[in-house]
This record gives sequence, C-alpha cells and structure tokens, in this order.
Amino acid sequence: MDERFTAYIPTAGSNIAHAEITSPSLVKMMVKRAKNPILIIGENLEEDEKEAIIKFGEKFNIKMIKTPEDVNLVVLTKLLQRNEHDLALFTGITYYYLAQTITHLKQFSNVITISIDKYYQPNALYSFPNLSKDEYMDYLNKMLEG
Amino acid sequence: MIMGNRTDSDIKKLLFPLIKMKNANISMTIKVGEDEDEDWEPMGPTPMPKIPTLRHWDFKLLERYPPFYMPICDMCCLCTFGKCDLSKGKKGACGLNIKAQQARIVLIACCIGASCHAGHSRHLVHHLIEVLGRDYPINLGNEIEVEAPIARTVTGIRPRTLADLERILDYCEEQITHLLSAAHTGQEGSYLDFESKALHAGMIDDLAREAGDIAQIVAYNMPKGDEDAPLIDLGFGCIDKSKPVILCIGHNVVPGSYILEYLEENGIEDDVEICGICCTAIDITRVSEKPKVVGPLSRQLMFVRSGVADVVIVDEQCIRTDILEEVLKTGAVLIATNEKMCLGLEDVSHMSEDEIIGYLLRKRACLILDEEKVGKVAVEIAKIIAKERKDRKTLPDLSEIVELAKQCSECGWCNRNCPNTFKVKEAMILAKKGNFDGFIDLYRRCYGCGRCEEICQRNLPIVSMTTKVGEAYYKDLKFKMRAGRGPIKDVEIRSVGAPIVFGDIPGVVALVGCSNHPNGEEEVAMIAKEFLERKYIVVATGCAAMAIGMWKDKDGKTLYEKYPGEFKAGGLVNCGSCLSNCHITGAAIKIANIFAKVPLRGNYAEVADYILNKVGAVGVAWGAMSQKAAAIATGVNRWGIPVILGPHGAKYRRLYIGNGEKFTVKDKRTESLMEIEPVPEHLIITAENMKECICMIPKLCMRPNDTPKGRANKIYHYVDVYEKYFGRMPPDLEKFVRTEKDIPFMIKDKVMSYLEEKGWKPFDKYPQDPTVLY
Repeated sequence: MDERFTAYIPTAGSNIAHAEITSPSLVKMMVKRAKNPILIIGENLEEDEKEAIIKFGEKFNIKMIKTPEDVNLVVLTKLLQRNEHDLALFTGITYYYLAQTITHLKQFSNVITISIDKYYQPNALYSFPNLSKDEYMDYLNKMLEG
Repeated sequence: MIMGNRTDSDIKKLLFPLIKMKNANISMTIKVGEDEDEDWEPMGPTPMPKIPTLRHWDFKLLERYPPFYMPICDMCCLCTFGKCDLSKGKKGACGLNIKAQQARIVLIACCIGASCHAGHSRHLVHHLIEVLGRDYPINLGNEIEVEAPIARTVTGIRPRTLADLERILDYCEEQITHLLSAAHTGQEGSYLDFESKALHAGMIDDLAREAGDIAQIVAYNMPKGDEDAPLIDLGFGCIDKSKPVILCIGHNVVPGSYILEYLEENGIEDDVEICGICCTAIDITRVSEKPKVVGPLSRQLMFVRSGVADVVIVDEQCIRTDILEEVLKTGAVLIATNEKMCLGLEDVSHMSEDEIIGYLLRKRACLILDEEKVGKVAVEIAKIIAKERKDRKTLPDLSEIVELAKQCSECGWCNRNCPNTFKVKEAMILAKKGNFDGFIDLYRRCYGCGRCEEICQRNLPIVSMTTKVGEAYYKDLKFKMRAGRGPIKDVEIRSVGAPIVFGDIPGVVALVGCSNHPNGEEEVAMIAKEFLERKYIVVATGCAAMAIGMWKDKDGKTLYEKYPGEFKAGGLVNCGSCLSNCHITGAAIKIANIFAKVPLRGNYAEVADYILNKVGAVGVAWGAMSQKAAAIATGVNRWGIPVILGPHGAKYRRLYIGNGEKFTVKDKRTESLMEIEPVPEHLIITAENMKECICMIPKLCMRPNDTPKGRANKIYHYVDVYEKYFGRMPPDLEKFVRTEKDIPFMIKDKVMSYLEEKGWKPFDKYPQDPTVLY
C-alpha cells in the first residue's frame, strides 16, 4: 500500500469540489471528444513514464507543452483560461505546485483539467488515483492501447 | 525639537476656550517641530499618503499586471454568516466573490507582516528612546547623506532623531489600522481595491522596517554601509560546545545586546558561547563579531534537538511555537523576552536577577519583559545549567538510529506528509541496514518542519535521527558569512547608478526571504553564484543571506569569502536581517535620487515610476513562507520591482502576471504614447525549480530604458542561462529584442536565425524616457 501514498494535500479537505477519479479508458474517450486538447508535461517523470506519455500525446495528436522549459506553468495557466483549449492534461509537475496553480482553472475557467500523474490531484476536475509505479505504468500502457 | 504629545495637549488647552466661542473664526499656523518647514527639498505631492492617495499608481500597476488568483480554499470562513461556498462564481452571504476574498486574504497577510515589522520597530524605537532619549541623533556617517530614502519618499520626513522615527511609526500604525479594518465583513468589495490596499500595506511594511533598522544601526553602532563588514562564523560546527551555550532565536536584538553587554562588562566574552538562529543571529553579529550564527530558521528544530544550547532566549517572530516543549526536553532553560510571545510563562520581570535565576532553576522557563535583566540572568544561568547538562545526551546514537528505524512499519505517511515529498520512508528502510545515505541526503535538504514526525504511527523522532546523522557525517559544518552591512553608501550609488539604469550592469538580484526552499539551502547559493559570476550585483538579507553562506567551493571557500561586499558588479552584499530589506529598495530609490536627481520628498509615484522603467532589479524569495515575506514582496512590487517566488510561494494565492502582450508607455521626450516590449514582464511570479528561476532573473532585469548595449548585455545572459539549463534558445526571446542593435555581437548569427524563424520584426521606435504616469 505504501507506494501509493506519494503525496498529500491536507487543504483539499476544506474544498467543496474534489477531482473525480478517472481511468485510462475514460481519459482516452475525453481526449477523443475534445476539440483542442493540450498535454502539459513537467520535468518530474521517469524516463519510461515520459516515453509513454509522449507516445500517448503523439498517438492522439495532442499539442504538447513542456513546463517550465517552454513556458512557466502559471503563465500557461493564465493562457489556458482564454478557453482556446477545452481539455488540459497535466503530468510530471511538482505535486503541490500543480495542486495550487490548477485551482485557478477550477475557479475561473471552463477548461476540463485532468491529472494523469501517479497520484491523486484533488484540484483537477478529473484525476488518476494514487498509484504505485507499476500500476501507473499499467495505466499509461492502457492509454496507448486500442 | 519635536514636542510630540505634549504639544498636542498644550494646543488643546489653548484652543478649547476659543472653540467654545460662538462663530469664532480661528486661523493660525502651528509649527510642530522644525522639520516641516525646513527647506531640504520642496514637498512633493503625496507626503504621508493615505489609502487612496496612491491608488492611481496602484491601478497603473494592476492594469499592466492583473492579479492572478489561485484560491487555496473554495470557501470563506471568516464570519458567522458562513462558511460560504465561493466556488465557480458564487457569492458569499456578505456579497463577496472569490477574487475579492483572495485579495482580502492577501491584504490580511500583508497587514500581519507590516504590523509584525512595525511592532518590532516600535519596540526597538520605544526601548531606545527610554535608554538614549528622544533627541538621540540619527547619523549614518558622512558617506550616507540620504539616510532614509523610504521615509523621505513616503512621509516627506527626513529623520534626524529617534523621535522622528517615532513619528514615522505613528503614521505606519495609523495606516495599518485603516488597512486591517477594510478587511472586516462588509467593507471593501473590489478585488482591485483590496490589492491597492495590500500594496499600501507592503509600502508601510517597507517604511516600518527602515525606521527599525535605522534605529538599531545608530543605537547599537552596527556597520553603517561598511562593505568590509567582518566575516563571521556560521553553521552548527562553529559552536564551541565545551562552553556554556546561549542560543537566541527570533528577530529582536535587544535581549541579545544586553547579554553581550553583560559579558563585556564582566570581561567574560570568551567564557560563554553566544549564537543565534534567524534574524536575531544576524543582528547580534552586527553588534559584535563574537556571536556565531547557527543558521537560518530551517535549522531551528534540528539545533534545539541537538541539545547544544544550555539557555534558549526567544524574542519575536519566526520561532517555533512549540519551542518551550522542545527546549525542556533537552534539559535546557528557556527565557521568553517579548510580549508578543509569552508562551504561557510566568512574568518574573519584577524580581531581581538573582531571584529570577533561582526561579529558573526550579521552573526551567520564565518570561522576562525587562530585557536588561536578561543579560545577567542568561549568562549566569547558562554557567550553572552547562555544568548540570555536561554529560546529557539528547540525540540517539547511530546504533540507536538503526534500532529506531527497525521499528518503522514503512507505512509511507512520512513521505505523504512532507511538504516537499522528500523520501523519508526510503531513508528509514536504508537505515534499518545501517546505511545512512538516505538520512544524509535528507539532512542536506530538509527544513526541519517536523511534519513527518507528527504523522508517524510509531512516534519515531525523525528530525532527531536526521540531525544525528547530519552531525555524524557532515564533518565540515563551519562556514563564513559577512555580517550585515546595513545601507548602501551614496558613493556606491553614484558609481553604479548609470550602468544600472542604462543596462551595462545586467541587473541587481536581491535574494531574500525564509527557508521554505523546495530543495534545501544550496539552491539559494547556486542562484547567487550564477549571477555573481555574471557580474550582477547580488544583494541578500535574512535567512537567504545565511543560506548563501552554507555552501563552499572545492577550495573550501564560501561566496562571501570569494566576492567583495561592495555594491558593485560582482559584489555580494549582505544588508542584514529582514528589517534590512529596506536598504535594497532604498538603493533603488537612491539611484533615482542621487543619479537621476528625482526629488524624493513626498514623491512616491514618480520615484516608483522611475524604478519600474529604469532600475533593472529583481527580488528572489526562493523560500518565502511568512506573512512578513508576503508584505515585503508586495511592498517591493509597489516600488516597481519584480519578485520571483519559489514554488511554495504559489500558496500565497496571488501573483501579478503580465499578459505577455506589449505594454504602453509615454515617452517624456516626445510626449507621445507608444507600445513597448513587455518589460519587466511580470511583477510577482513563481518558478517551479531553480533552473527556471535562474532563467527568469535576466529577463526580469530588463527595463524599457535599457540602451541597445545594455539590452544586448541582458539578452546575452538570458540566452546563455537558457542554453546552460535547458539546452535551447529562450522560447520568448523575440519579445525582448527591439532592434538589431539589441542583439549581442557574440551570438548575433544564432539569435538572428532564431528571430527570422519566429517572424520577428524590429521596432520602428522605442521610448527614450519612458513613464507610465500619463
């Protein structure tokens, strides 16, 4: 069980809305339905995870942005508020930093936010649950299937 | 001579019978003190600004850098109407929406910070007036004529005595009262006005700090802008454990100075070890070279747990609130010395020193509000307690750590509860086998908050275990830092003013703030090192100044030993404690005044406009944690100086971010409005990691007033750091190149081909004398 507890944000408990747990197949469906999705990739991914994520982005032809290399996460969040993208997927970003930044989109935009990290991200609209490394790779591989 | 309250009451007595006269028309001028009509500079438009006085300036800033909110909570819980759900555009029972609520929380935070500094400064000034008298002169030496740039600009007062500082603090306290009252239920309703008030609170914070630091500089004869301020000892390893050890924690130099005085009077300076954590540490080393700095606030719990201290003196701010419990566990004695932190202890101020010593031997802790008594009590009790605690062990041995680690059930809650998600569990698993590598890494990066311990199901003393491993494996915990030098001298400003304004010195980087670093102290030193090597001026204060000292190169030298303490290109300037942050904004103000002859007196907006457009400075608060840091950053922002926060800074909930579009300014030479590149791009922003922070610094040092040569210099560093840390050209470079002349010659081909790819077009014209005041 221990590997699942990779992160914790106590303040999530005082919020009204928490992220709904989602699955790889649901994420795929949401991506397929989206008109203009964007995938935001941070630097905290291991090589195999990053490889799978990039393959996923290429397979579904999603615009990919690397943060902070391409743009600062907060500046990007501000750009996302303009509703040019209807769906934003996040992964590999420092946990508490994303947790805090993404609340902007939750309150002030209509962008559907999904965390596809290996831990639960309450301030997204959808998130994977806390996962062990193996479970996470399994999730990522499922996203590449079909 | 200013008569203060006595004048007020006398005037009332004089006027009262006249006021009672029906239809009496009284017209008179009352001269209060000599400062008001003294002609040192004509009075500007906004002396002693009230909340709305500088609103027009704030709105200029807020239009260009609209507030960006990241609510930490969906609700408002401040009154009994609520809790109110403010999520997704809903309003609370009082009518407030979530933007205004976030802005209100920021205002409250800034008021807490400002009142902390104002309270601290008030305590200092009040105490020093009691001891030295109201007429005690403010004299920072011949090389500092502009002694109080913030006070001059904000209040229009040129402080000459301690009594003048009292007047300044009266003004600060009045403003804080109004500002805080605006946060009451059913007051301000606009997020922009809340922000304007937060900016006002930040400015008051800046002013209050200046009053406090000037008071302590003149009263305790601290260095007055001395670039050769002594190098002092820093780190766990520099404390001589064979002597009785007194540890001072907090932000107020008064009790510490009495300890130093008592030691000196009795000729026993070398018999007792005095050390400090947090800003008191820096300030007592400004009084004397003898005391040692243990480290920043993050080392507080670790050092107390180490049991080295025999007596712990706490004053105010940034002290662990469970310090009493922690100190008593080690068998040491605790003395609280400040009304703001009494810790439930009995006030023994009325007792004689000897009686207090007897009391302390029985009760182990007390509150002494008469700081003068602290001197003798602390020293004498330390001598007794040191003998008593001679062989006391407070940390587990390495073998005991292995046994403790074996009790770990590997539940992983320590990792989950760590604010930085450090790998505590993994360190524990390794320690079970006698391998301390995990704990060694933890010691280097952890800021000792103790949240891992709090959640541990087996109640393992994780911080104590980490401390012991650090003690055992880090043999070299001795460092050097330069004592706080105080203000920047006028002559230094004269020599760097032009190169900063025209961009030949690529920037001034101010490293300030707390210890809430994402990866330990080393990153702050690495940021400083990067920009010192690039010949920026690096300025530091407080815990960040200590963090810079806690790194050594391969020759065993700290940055303070490698770089001069002068305010010049490639200089590393430690101004002092948190109060001394005022000297950083003070330097920017002095550039406007000394170099560009912008009048200061009551002339806030013009000075801030000059700084925003012409002084290439950026603040970095890599570990900002407290409300004081929020107030400092917001105060710095009102002067037009951008600030970069570490990733934890996102929890302040509000940033000021540019829209990435062109800005509009007026060129004072041609009186025409024109669009310019977005510089400085943001006013306050977070960076996720150190390399992002380093890459952001050269960009935020750009100003519209840069000459082509200056801009080329700044662009060179921007491109160079981006290539160094990300291995590519900056993705937004085209925004900052105005004409081909802005392209550095050394990398011209590379930059030109990049710009062509981006479809860059040169500017037709750019302003020669930009202003946003139009």
